[in-house]
Amino acid sequence: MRTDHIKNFFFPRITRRYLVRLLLVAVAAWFICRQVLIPVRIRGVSMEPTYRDGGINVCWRFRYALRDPRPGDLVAVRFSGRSIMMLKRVVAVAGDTAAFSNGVLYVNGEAANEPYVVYPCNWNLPPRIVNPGNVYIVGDNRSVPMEEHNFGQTTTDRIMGAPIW
Amino acid sequence: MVGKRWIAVCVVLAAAGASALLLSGGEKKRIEKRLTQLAGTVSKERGDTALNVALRVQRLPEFFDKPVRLHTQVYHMGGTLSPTEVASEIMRARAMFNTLKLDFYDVDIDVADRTSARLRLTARVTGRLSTSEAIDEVRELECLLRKVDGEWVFSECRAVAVLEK
Repeated sequence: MRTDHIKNFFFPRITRRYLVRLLLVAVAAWFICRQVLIPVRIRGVSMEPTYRDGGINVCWRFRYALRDPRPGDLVAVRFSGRSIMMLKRVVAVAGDTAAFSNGVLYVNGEAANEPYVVYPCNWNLPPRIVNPGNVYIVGDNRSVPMEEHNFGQTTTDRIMGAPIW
Repeated sequence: MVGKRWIAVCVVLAAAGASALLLSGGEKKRIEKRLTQLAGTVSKERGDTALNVALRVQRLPEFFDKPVRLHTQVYHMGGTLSPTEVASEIMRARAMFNTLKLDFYDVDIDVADRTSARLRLTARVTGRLSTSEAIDEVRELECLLRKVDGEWVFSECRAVAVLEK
């Protein structure tokens, strides 16, 4: 009896019902992987040590469906589409002032508590106000020169979600 | 009689719509093919021969309009340039690499009429410089294409500011 179950599981009889189920599963998998949980491969070192180069993750599209991103949140930001996204951390939101002085991030004039930043840096950036509808995003790895690190403010409509782990 | 006229009008409208869709789809395919050709011409594998370089120098200007306007400072390319100037700038940048790969992602094509189209895409340049430094640059680009002598050529290109420091 158990052998039959195992055999049926691995070698099912191809019936119309089976094909319909197979089609439904394929459509559901396609929809989930395209619209809900997008599999991503991390490339680059801008989020080290939180995320290593070459790591695998999944972008949860509805992470910010019910609330706006807050400082400390991780975000996946799209370019012209979702094939390539930037993984960064929100450090300031609309109306805030963000600045760097000797590698320390200042938000609204106060030094931000950033336990996720491990490597030291010496960035200096004059204060700038985050525009309405924007967030200020930076990578966790600030050991690279400021000119080579992609960071700054971006519109919230570019945020595609956040990694689930 | 009136009913037949309405049917005829509907048939004509449907035929016009279908042909417009087909034509637009065909042009989109041609533009996608053009992008693939450009990516192939710019990309470089280890062991580029002199003949290969000469062929590319000859082929590259065919992708650009006379003149082409570049609103991007990637590799110091910017301003209004002739096709040969753009080609020589690309070849000069290309010479700095041991290996180079240009890829286009999330290409959104809007064919305005038969002679002009607007593109929005993500361009990714990966490779290794002669100094062994690895390069992985991503830019969102907005381009205007014009159809000249039956071929789509780049007339204008602008780098979209996804992040503003």
